[in-house]
Amino acid sequence: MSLNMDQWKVLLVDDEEEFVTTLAERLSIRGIATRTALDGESGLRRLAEEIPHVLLLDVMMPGMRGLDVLRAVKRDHPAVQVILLTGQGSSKDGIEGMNEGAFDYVMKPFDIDGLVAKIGEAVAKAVGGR
Amino acid sequence: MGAAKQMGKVSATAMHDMLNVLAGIKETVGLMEDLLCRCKLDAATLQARFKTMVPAMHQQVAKGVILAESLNRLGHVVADPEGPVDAANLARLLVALTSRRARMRKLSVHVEENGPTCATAEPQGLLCGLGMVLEACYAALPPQAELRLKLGQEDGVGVVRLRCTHPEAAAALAGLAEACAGLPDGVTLRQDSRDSGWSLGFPCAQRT
Repeated sequence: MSLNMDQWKVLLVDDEEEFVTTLAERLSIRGIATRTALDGESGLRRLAEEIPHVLLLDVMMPGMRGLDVLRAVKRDHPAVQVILLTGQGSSKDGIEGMNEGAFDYVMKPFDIDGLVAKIGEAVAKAVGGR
Repeated sequence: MGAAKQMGKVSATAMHDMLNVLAGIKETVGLMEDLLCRCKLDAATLQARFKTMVPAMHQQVAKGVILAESLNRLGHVVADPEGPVDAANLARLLVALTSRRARMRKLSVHVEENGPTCATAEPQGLLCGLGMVLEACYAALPPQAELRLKLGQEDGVGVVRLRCTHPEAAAALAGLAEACAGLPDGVTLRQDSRDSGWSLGFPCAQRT
């Protein structure tokens, strides 16, 4: 089963508020419903309220780290596909995340079209896995 | 730990911040482009939106400039290790460039002014020593703790006094000396008996 872009459900979790607001609006302009959270704990709460197809997750956040959020999501909601966002020059966290079950990772700053394509692949996997 | 390794760690942390700044700018510019090309907005609405986005972009650029300048100044300290260098300035640079690590642990760090401070003749020693101590403090202190650094001189030796009033701070920092094993030559770390804070001593070149 494939979904149209306007049926995709995305949750974006990142501690950089300006970045979160702007990226969410850019995705919404493209028809992708995007909810947001500014830390790992509230991200998990938002995820439990409405299960998204894809979680866009910052790796380095104050408090609960991205990789800890990833582990909790893969344990409780394995069908949710997680794309890690990292600002680090090193891809170490991204690779570690993929070993923990992340769908993929992208490094900031990234190209929006590339991100949307990746979200599409992740949605297809999420829908296939449900 | 050598100055090069410490510099590598500091610059990696600062560059992470810088990439976040660039990502913020890129997304804001991208949104402006989206609003211009993808959304059918009237001129007044477009102008109103842009008015709110421009200050955000100025803010991001200012953040990036501070990071780049701090990294540049620190790079000069490492590349040109001949002292003296103002120790308080060096401490402030180090704290600014590692602030992301502190934020990750929900800590706040302040460098206090303390009258006449001193210049260190060996900036790399202070850079490595203070870098190691800060890193160990970031790892050990409980969330919401506030770490205060005060620079001064005692008996001709430069001193960075580290104080944290959090009730769990003393226990959290009990292993600080072990965590900072291998400090550079001439740099010392000791616990103060009077208030259980810590003092980092470093060779001091002159009073300023």
